[in-house]
Amino acid sequence: MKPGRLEFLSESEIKKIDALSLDILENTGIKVELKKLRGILRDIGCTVDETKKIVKFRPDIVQAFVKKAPREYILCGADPSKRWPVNPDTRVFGGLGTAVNMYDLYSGEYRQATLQDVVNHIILFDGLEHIVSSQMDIWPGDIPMQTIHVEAMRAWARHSTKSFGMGAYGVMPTQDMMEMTSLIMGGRENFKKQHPFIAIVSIQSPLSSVQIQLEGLMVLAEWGQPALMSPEAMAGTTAPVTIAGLLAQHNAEILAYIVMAQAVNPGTPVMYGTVSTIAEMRRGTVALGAIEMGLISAASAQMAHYYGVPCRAAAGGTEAKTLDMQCGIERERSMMLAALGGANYITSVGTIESTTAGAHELAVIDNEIIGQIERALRGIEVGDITMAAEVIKAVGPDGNYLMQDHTQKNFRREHYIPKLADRDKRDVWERGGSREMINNAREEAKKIIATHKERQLDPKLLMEIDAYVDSVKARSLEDFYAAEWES
Amino acid sequence: MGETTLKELEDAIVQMDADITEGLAIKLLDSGTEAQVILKEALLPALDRVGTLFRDGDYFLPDVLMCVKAYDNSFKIILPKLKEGDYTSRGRVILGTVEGDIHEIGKNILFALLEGNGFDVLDMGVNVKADDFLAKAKEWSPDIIGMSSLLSTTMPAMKQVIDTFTKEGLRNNYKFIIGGAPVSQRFADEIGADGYGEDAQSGVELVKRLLAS
Repeated sequence: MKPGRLEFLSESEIKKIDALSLDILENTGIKVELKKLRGILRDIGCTVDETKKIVKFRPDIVQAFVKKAPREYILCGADPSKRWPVNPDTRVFGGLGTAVNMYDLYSGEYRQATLQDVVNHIILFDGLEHIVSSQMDIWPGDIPMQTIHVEAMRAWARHSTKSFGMGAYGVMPTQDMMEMTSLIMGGRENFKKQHPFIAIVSIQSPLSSVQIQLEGLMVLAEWGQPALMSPEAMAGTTAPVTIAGLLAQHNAEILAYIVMAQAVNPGTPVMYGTVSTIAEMRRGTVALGAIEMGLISAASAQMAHYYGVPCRAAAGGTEAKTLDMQCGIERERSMMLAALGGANYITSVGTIESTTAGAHELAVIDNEIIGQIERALRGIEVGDITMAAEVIKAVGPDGNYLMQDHTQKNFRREHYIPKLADRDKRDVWERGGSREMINNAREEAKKIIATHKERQLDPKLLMEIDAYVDSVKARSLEDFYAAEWES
Repeated sequence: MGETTLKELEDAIVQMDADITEGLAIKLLDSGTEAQVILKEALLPALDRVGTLFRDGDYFLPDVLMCVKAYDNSFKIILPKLKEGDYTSRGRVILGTVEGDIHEIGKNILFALLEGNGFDVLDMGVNVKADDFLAKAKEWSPDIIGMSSLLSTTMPAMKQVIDTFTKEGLRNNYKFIIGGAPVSQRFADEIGADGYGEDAQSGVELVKRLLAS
């Protein structure tokens, strides 16, 4: 069986991109908006211009520090017996956000996202077999901004056995997330040994940074938690319009961030991330539903694996405003390309409108798309049992295979059996109410939410979690932002 | 002992364990359990459970067919004993693919499902001429005659079969049902058939409905 792997770059093209990235890092450099971090980078031998905040990285430093990033680590759930190895050969799927608006699952109304949506989203992900991690994908508008992260973490502790994650935004929120995860996972030492939490570190393209993201990165590295270095470069606005140029630039950015994490704490688990795509050239806005995003994700996976680290790719994005055909086409194809390209953590589930809006039924649809993609990537097993020599001879001309043991024993593994897509004949379909796939997804989402059982947590732990959330609620928005370090 | 084994036989059918059901049926008869009891308390409850699993989407056709095989292996053991008593089957059905057509998968599935639901079924195979349907009906006295066709070009052959029975004055002695990819309820109405099933499972429901009326 040949692995189903799509490659857009040749070996020599990978090396060309690598060479240009090293050239950019050495001669142009990256703007690092955090004094503390510039100091650490100076200590490892980088050239720092304090007035311009530009850090230049010698190629040998880049190469030496990128090598410190582990090739593999184990992602686990809030239930630590759930484990997913992450390395350049594995693949998990998670959510993508952040949706500030939602299509209401019950009324169909388009409205602001709420904390209840966050809870339902986490419940849903717990029940969908192909989805591993929620990424704080929904951003509710009915609670104070400074409490969203801790409310989400409380919901995760109470309702999910799977992994969790969110953006690393600032010292205080990231420390909150680390402290709460530590509580949930049974203490700091216990937590540091495992990785239930992954955080997306956003990169400001071109070649720059946002202070709160760097602060978050430092906190994560100190706690030894996986950091996903994720530029959202757009070909034509924040990156060269040409895809090769975008790849060289965002590769330089990602490498710089990996070096930063390793400089803070050698061995910090990372991912080579990408949310990069093309810009919409009529308006200069992002085009997450573009076919080129799949190309960029697949090529980025090749680059990541060249450096020996796993790759995170965003996929499933769409600019569609409703759950229409555009929404379906765009989400499926970027997920497929990212997966075929070998991305190892694909954040893709449940959003529309350039990830600013979502729908619970879409998560259920995405789960089915992922099941099909997983089936495609499992490929074709050629062996004694699957070649079916004896069965072919036994059935002979004009026979059929339906009543063969071989059929019964193998069909579940060989065929992906969809839950939502309809394959009935017209009469049967009409008798069932002429339902479209989205109706089936809606019903399934409602069923998962209605039948979900909260985890049985120790009452003492629940009280500690509540107390933490309350302490954060007591903060003012000014306090929340005041905690930042010097830029 | 007898009680446990009835449950064992029921479970073996549901779990598609076709290799042990014959032995279990023999064991039950040997221990003095009556054939009627085996049928009513093991075989039929097993088929009900399989039907539910199928309807709920947990079981697929290959699973159901394997259950039917497991059922058959025990049913053939108790059948001679049943016939000594006051056993009557739930109904008699003849199936065949009409003249000019050699497709039979759908028909074969229906055959197995009907058997698995306790009907006596006779399969005439493929490319069956109208006169052959007539001759077999006279000989075997079915309640229902089922015809299938997969090619739209062979659909008219279904009408020929019904017309042949009509000419002989025998049309009303039997119920005619049809199935197959190109066939529809409208076509069934056009040719004067008594019913139409979209797929094998609907076919079973149709047979039950027609025999109940």
